[in-house]
Amino acid sequence: MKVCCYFNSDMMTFGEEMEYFMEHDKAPPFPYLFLDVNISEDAPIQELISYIHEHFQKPTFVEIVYHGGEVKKMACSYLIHSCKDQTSEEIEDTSIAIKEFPKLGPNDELCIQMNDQRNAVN
Amino acid sequence: MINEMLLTKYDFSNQLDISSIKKTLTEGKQIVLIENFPEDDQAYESFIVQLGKPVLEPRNNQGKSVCDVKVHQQNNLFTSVARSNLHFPLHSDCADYKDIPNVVALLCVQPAPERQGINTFAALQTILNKLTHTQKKQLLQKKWTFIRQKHSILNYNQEEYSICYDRITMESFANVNDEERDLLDSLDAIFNQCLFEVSLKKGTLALFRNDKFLHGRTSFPLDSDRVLKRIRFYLT
Repeated sequence: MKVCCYFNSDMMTFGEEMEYFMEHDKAPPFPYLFLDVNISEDAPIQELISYIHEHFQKPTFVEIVYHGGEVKKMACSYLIHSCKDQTSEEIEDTSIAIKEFPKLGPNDELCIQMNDQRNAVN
Repeated sequence: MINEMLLTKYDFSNQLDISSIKKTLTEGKQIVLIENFPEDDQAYESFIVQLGKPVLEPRNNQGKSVCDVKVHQQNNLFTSVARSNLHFPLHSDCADYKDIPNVVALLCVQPAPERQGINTFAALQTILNKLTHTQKKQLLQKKWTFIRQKHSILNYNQEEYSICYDRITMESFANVNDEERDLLDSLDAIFNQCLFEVSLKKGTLALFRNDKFLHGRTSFPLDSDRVLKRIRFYLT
């Protein structure tokens, strides 16, 4: 299956992203990545997410440093993105089958936003 | 201890004076508390657009302006400090934005059990009173890295100070040397001397200037159903 994804650590600066989301008429300037993945759509979306992390060699967590130096791991989170109306919905349960998620990428493929850095604090 | 001088209270059941709320926020010296606020996202969004321009983020509810701040885990790890049950030290929201939203709205839908998950604040005016001239100068001049943005912790513009501080972001995504860490430790000590707690009741909306108050929260039990609905916006 074809998958479109983007890591928010690769995206533009937060301010620019925010301005984009505040003005929906702009074309999305995200660095979309397209992948052909040999995976059954009956598989849980977690399998696809793990594959994407491995393929792009991006960790599944972010290490954050608390005041005083204690390091804590924060997990990446994932959103299904709609390129049609530029909205996203957080994937709450990664055990749900891939086929249950809407295909709303630029070419009607599944489009996943990988939240891997920016939102690790707040 | 609650500093009542820093709070101004309203009741949603009564006719709300939007211009008065706006004035309080523009002055930036007090936190606005509105009791009996409805929990409905649409009503919340409609109220906020009367005050300013909200920030829309993909991870918010329906990608709009309301974010449910509650414990959220993925593969047994929290997905952010905000969405954990951990103590969240005093900070500014969106410190890594090019222009930070100057107001944060927090609607308490479900508080944590008594005396836990309490919201904490420190007013910039109180902080400034504790800083020496040299410290102020240093905080105005020294640029720090906040992911892809570089800016000072204090800013002085049109005869007004503003603050932007998020030590977790500063230390997690950039190198901070021992000398800088000592400086941050001494700053934290000053911020914590200025800290006061505000225990939000169910249905209370807190509105505060993100560039005039630092905010945080105490820890709470993992199994708590604490939920705050957050909207960040630019006062217009």
